[in-house]
Amino acid sequence: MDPAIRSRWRQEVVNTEQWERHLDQARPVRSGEAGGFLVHSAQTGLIGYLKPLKSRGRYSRSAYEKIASDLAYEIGVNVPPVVLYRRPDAQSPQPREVSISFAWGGATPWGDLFDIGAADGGVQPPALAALIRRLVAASCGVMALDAWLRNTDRNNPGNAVLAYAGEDDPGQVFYVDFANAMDFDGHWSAGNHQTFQRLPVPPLLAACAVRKRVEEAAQRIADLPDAVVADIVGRIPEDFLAAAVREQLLEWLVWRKQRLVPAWGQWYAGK
Amino acid sequence: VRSNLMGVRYTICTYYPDLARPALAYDFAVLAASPQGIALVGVNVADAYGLQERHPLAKAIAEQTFQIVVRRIQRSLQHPGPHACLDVLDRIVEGNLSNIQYRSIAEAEGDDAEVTADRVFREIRQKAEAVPPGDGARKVLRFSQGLNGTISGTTTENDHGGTEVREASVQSYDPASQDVDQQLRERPMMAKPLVLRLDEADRRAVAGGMPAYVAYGLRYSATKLVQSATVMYPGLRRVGRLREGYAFCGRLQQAYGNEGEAMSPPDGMVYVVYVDPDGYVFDWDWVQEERHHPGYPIDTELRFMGDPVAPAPEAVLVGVEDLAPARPFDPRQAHPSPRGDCIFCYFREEFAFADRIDNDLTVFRSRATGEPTGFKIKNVERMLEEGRIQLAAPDLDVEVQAFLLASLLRNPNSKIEVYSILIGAWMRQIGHTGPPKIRVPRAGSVCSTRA
Repeated sequence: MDPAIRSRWRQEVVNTEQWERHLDQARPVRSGEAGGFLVHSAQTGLIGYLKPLKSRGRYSRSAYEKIASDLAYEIGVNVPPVVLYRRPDAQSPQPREVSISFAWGGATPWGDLFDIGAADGGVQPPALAALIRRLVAASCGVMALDAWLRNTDRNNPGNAVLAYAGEDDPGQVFYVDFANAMDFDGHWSAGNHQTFQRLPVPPLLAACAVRKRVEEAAQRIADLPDAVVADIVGRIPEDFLAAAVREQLLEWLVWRKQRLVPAWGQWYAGK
Repeated sequence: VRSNLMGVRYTICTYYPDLARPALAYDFAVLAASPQGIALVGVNVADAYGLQERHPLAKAIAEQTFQIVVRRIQRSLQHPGPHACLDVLDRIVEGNLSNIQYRSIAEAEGDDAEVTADRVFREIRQKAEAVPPGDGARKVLRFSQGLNGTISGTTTENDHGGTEVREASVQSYDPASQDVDQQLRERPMMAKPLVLRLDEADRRAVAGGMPAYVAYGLRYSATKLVQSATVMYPGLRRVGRLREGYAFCGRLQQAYGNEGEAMSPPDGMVYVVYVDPDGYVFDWDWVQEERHHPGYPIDTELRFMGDPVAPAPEAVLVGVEDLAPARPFDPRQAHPSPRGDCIFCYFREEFAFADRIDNDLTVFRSRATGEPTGFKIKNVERMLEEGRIQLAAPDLDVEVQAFLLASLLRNPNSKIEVYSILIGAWMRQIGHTGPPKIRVPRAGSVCSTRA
């Protein structure tokens, strides 16, 4: 994707452009756990995916998405750029504080095109299967990010997107949805932040993963200066994530960052 | 809060080749749910529209649009709730970052999801007329919910590229002998239809005060006509960008009135859809048919610059399937079309046909009485360039009447009575304190202001 856009979204925290519903997408009667919809910026014309449509108490989904995206940018892992946004038209009980993930002209959830529960993806024809394997392998550094952030929801047909910007763009896999990561369920608050675990990983990702790439991503995480993590977490506004929660989260992330490589055997699920 | 109406809820599944360009969209399936069951009726976009995507991922999606929705249904069925079938519909549409999107959920009477899905899909297909003949591509997927909350069905065909359809029924649809199906079977299949659209400015005009039959004419008649035109004529003007425009002409079995109701077409008339060089439809009218040339309009040598192309290339008009009047008819409003380089004015809402007066003026006449109901002024940009409309300064409001008179100056052989009748009829409208005005901005294209 355009590096300039990615860099700009990384620098930005709360976007103040006017974001409008992009398509005549169905508006469900009962919004789901993490429902969202496509939007476009009236100023720039860029499109994005706005969510959530449901609040979750002190663990802000939108803040989690922003933090994960910015951290991914710093370590070179494929997560779409994210900005925070205050919806002027949010209808109660929908939260006003949301996140917008950058969206491409061409996008499809990986579970739409193949079976992530199968090591070979069950893809036909062979040329497409090979392309899928290459794209997944190239993006497997996400396994290290997921381990660091304790993302429990990667084995989900909707949580990675095959994105392409046009005919000349071969495409990339971008990993989305960090709502069920970090302390979303109070697991770290309960004293478990020092625990690394083998998280649910789709067999396709495990089969395509290149160990060296994941190791390199884990090392980049370990090498990430604490100050960068502190800046990413600390600049989240109070209405998106309370200061006390931010401080605690930062402490956990810095600790886990340093322990990620030594704990390799506890979390790596690839070959 | 779920609606208390315990009928059927449905959504139309739409494929967008490029989410950044939403004007290009293909409706390919209808997903319906009732408390008792779920049904999906649809096609694969690549088959139905002849869509040939070049990117391998886009190609894979276009070839599997139906199956992709099937997979989404299957995933949603893994965690059924107390209202499992209706929950599935909600769950599928609630979050979706994909080129396959869903239109707003609608409700229908009845209790059979499949009947609803089938009916709505037929309506879509009749509008688009884009499903090729003999393809057998139309598929039906059914799930039914038992009294104990389980969802089951019978598998009669596995058509999903290695993905088993569990507890479901997927079968080729046996098309009923409807007229549209017959027409489709008789049409030659084109490799890739021409995709036509409606400019946003024209969309606002059509929905914002024009007679309702104009909106329904575009939504129903124009979409059909471009699929089944007898002839296409290139060259709408002698000079300017519309020299590269074109028009589709042909007969239609039905016309549509101000309530969107179907009715018989005007006797001896053909329908004409005008398109600019970029593929934007900007005008559509009933026009008198050439007596000895079925499907062709009269005065083709005056109307068009190029030679006829018959049969007309296959085309599909997208993005107007939901078009409807958003505001009541407003006779005080003029409706400029920058795409069409013309201005539309209507002073009565009666269903009308188009009567070409000269190069610059077309009068709309009531089907019932033949009386004028409005008019269209063409070559607006040229009138401005020629100084026919004298502007003291840019950004001035100019009375449409001035354009009308300018067109008379440009066409001295036209009868002055026509212009007199138009202006008189216009001014007699109740509550009409003055003729509509057009603002001419510095850029040159026109926009409307109310009198």
